[in-house]
Amino acid sequence: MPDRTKPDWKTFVSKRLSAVSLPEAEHNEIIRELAAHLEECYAHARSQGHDDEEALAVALREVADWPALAEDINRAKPLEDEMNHRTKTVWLPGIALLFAAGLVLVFLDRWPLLQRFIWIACMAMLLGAGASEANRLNPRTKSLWLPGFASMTAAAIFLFAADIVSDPFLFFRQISLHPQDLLMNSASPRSFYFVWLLAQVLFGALGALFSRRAGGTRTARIFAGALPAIIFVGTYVSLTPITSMFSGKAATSPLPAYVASALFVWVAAPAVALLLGAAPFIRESDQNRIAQSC
Amino acid sequence: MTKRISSKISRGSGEIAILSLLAQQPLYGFEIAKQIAERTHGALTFTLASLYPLLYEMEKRGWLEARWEENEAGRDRRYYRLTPTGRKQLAPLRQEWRSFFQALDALAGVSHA
Repeated sequence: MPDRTKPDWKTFVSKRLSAVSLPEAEHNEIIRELAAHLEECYAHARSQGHDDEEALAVALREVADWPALAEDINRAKPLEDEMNHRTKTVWLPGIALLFAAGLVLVFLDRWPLLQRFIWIACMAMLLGAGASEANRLNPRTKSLWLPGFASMTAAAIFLFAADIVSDPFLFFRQISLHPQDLLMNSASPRSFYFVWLLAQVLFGALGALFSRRAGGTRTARIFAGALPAIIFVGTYVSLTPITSMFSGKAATSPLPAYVASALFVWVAAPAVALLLGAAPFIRESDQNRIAQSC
Repeated sequence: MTKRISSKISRGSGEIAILSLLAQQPLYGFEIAKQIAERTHGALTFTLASLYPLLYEMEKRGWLEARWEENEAGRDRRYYRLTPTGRKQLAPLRQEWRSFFQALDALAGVSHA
């Protein structure tokens, strides 16, 4: 029996539903939901004028036979149906096939253009598999990692695409390794950079929108929208000093200024663009407002 | 107050009751049970034990999808909404129940509203 002054419904439900045999995340979600239901019953009864003991009795009457409920839940959510049919028959075989083809090409060191298409397709298919299994993912994965991966995939696809249509050596030589050149010359990479920057607004919106649709909190929506910039931080903090050592031109620039300009071009500016796109979806949705008014 | 219908019959009607409610707006479990009881004047009632296995079953079939939301008081609620597949089930289910009432009426003289 829960503590009468403040019932701990999660512990109460958890103890009685130990016979539910589901993956941990799903099991915890059921406990969370049923505990929330009992809490609502208790609070509703209290608001109707019942005293504490009567309200507890009302809530407890919701389940007469806990082992039977555990069995019903096991029947409703069987383990063998953990992965849906489309994931098993389309997404996973497709990803495995493409991944294998990509690895063969890497080892053969052939057709770099085709390799890029393959990795893009792999990322997009992983995203498709994730979306297909969204019902089975735990809330954090659904509202944070999956939307973040969507915005990251979009940003990466854009970079790859630009890499394919322009001269990759010019691009990486003039912008990636020397971000300060953006302000001085190189019209073609510069125009690409600004288009790419504008596209971040869209990608930030995409991540935050997906997160909101999955019920993500504000923090999750911000994180999902800004994930590409967060990845860029990691990449540039670790890679820029290394690549600069191999660049003859970098010797003329002091390393701290070089890193700072790289961080500005690849992290700060995209982060602002991503958050700008995410902003409309960081606010509460209509559904949240409905929930708050109940 | 309307006479309460036995749990066996109300359980059978659960799918159409839930689909009809969710066709109007997304709701969380407690609210679904509350609205069913209110709208049927207490004739149909669902407890936690009878409601959630049904919701999970319908979710597994792809008729419903759910997501967590938190109200200002910090209370967690898992909102259910109809998927396009679930919406498609409504018309055939309504027809099925209509046929059922007609058959029952012909057999036992039970007229429906």
